[in-house]
Amino acid sequence: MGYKVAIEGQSDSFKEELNREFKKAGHEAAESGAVDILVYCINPLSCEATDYDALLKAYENTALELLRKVSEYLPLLEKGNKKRLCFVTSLDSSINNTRTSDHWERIISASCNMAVKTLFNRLNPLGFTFRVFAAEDFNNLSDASYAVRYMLQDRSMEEESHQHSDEKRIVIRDKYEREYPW
Amino acid sequence: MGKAAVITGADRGLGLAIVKEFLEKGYLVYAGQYMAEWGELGDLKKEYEDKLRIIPLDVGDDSSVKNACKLVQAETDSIDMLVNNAGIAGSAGDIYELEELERGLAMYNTNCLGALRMVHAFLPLLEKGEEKRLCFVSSEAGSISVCHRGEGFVYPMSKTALNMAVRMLFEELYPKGYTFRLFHPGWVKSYMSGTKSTVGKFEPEESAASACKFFAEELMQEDVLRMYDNEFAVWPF
Repeated sequence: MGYKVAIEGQSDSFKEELNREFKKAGHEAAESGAVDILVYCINPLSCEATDYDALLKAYENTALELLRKVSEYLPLLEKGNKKRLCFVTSLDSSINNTRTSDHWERIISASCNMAVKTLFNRLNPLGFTFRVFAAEDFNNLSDASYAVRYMLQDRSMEEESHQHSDEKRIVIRDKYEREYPW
Repeated sequence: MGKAAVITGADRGLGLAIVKEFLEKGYLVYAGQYMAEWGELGDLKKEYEDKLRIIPLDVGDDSSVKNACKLVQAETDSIDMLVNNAGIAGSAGDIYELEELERGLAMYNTNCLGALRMVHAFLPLLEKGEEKRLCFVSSEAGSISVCHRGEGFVYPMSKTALNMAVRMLFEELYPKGYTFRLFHPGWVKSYMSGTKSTVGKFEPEESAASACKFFAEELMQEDVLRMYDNEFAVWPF
């Protein structure tokens, strides 16, 4: 039986593509009641460095909304079978790898990554598992298939040692499943 | 002519202690005052009449930052250093009982965008200064790699946003001759929650002494952005 999947966040076209990919893999959109997998897309609107109003609005609609949505879905995820929280962030959200000064909305994506890490600390001991996928570009819809493949993987039996399993820690992975720094 | 620094969040705690350190070093200090009713900056002004300028400043407000910049510009056409210290703290609670997030937005506005506003407004003055040094008081709380917290959320998120903003400013301004200091003050008995904390490892004056040394001295590697703490240990992002 497939999982019930809820998809939230920004980027309608990418969310639709994620939905299609989940369906293709035999899973369905959660209509009401229990949710097995929650996916939240972190894709704040583009902001200029000096447009502080836009940067505030994007933070409200992306970062604070992430907290609201996870809080809202937790009771439904508790009733589900999978208890998996998935986030689609961007390669641009990595502070370690940033080497340009464009796309100031990245400060919001980075803060969302912190929210996700904090959620992991709180919820992983309660049995929730996490997947953080970094899209290269939310306009590149083919990234959605890689994202869904990673989100559906169970990695507890992987060859890496137990300590390094993605079930016991939280990492960002790109479409080649390479680990990406925060 | 002596060096000049602009310091935000100077009313009390770490900010006030940083102001004192730089005054003792002989700097002309423009101290951002957010709480006029708090008397410590006024008391310090009596001691350093010629070297301390108090400027009203709310880094969370565009027009306040612009007005503060005009006040400084009326006196000088250059500054050497900008110290972004102003910050507020708070918590959104546990994810199962998430609290009102209005404070979270205010925290991001002050802790991250406040520093951005200041840099953008004061760049013309810094451009003409000799040091071109940008200093930021961040926190270990902004380090995703070492994050151990399981609740609260909004303060660490605001500091992570600040760290990314500093990274992006670094990429833009280091090639133009600016140098950067990203500082975690340690666990300070701070006023960030309104009143002075009774818990903490360091008094504000202890951390300020480290901060001023770090802010004022040259580093071996200016071309790499790192977050250092008050004991000069490096923190990952």
